[in-house]
Amino acid sequence: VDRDDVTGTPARDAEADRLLADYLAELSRSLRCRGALATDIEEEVADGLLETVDSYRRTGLAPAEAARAAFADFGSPGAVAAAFRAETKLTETHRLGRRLLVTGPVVAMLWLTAMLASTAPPLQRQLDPWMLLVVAVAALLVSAPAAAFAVAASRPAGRLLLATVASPAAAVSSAAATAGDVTLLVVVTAQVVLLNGHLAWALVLLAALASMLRGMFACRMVARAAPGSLSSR
Amino acid sequence: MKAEVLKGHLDGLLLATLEGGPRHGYAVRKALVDGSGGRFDLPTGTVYPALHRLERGGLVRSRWITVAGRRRRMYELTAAGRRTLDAERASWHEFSSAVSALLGEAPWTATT
Repeated sequence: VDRDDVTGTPARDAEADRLLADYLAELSRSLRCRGALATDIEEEVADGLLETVDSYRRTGLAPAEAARAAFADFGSPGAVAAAFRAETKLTETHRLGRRLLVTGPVVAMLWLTAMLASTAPPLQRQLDPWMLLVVAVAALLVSAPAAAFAVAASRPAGRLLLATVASPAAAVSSAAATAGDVTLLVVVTAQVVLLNGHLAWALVLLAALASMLRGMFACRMVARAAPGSLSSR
Repeated sequence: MKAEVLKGHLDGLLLATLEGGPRHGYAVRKALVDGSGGRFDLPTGTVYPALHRLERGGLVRSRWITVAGRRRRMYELTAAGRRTLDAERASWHEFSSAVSALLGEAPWTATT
């Protein structure tokens, strides 16, 4: 068996390296998470794969054959990603909860500022800006506690029992935040279309953009965290 | 032996492979295969998530080291992990003794 001059491990060839790179790229695509967790999983699996390839090389297999044998030991990239699903789901839930906690007050303040600045008639007569505040506060009262619970329950050292309800809590938080956003957007659209209201356009557009971005982000994160089960036992 | 057979015992078996000291994922899987005489041949890719789950449960801890220029995650038992392993072992001995008594070679005496 040829050996690497530096590490002394059995040498691989270009084909084996390409096969390994393809496997890891497929794993990366199959993992439904990004960031540090994805990097850790990919590096850990890569290390294990290389160890397995080395062990097969020591038995006399050619580099490419050793790589294929290692893949058979590991299972397909999709199967490996699926086995990590419980962990990636919790990480995405934790991230979603934290972002909802941060963006909730920001979006609410943007809307309140926009409404208070839109004091010219007919808005002032047709719609009390404080009604919008009530909508925002109602959404916050549901969304914020649910997001805080999701963050606490999905923290890395959290208990597995609590973690099982972290994802539903994050979904409730997202739904409440999205409902608040949609209500505000509908009300403002109605003002523009039906009443030709005089709005503080820059502030309203900024708040609307923030609501839409948060809604899109929440939907994407909920979809990413939704499927799969927590326990593999 | 199929992976399904190991369900319910996998955590205890993984903890047992770490009883002698820290190991990385590949070494844990190899210890499972070698220690079982090749009978427990789990897909390697499923061992890593199981180790991560044990870490979340506080039964093992991990740290990263660098070997041959690449990062390697090493796992070791925590105190809680050792207690859990002891409990799993005691439970298994009790269970296997009962099963052996029932499935042993001596025939049962018929009663009326």
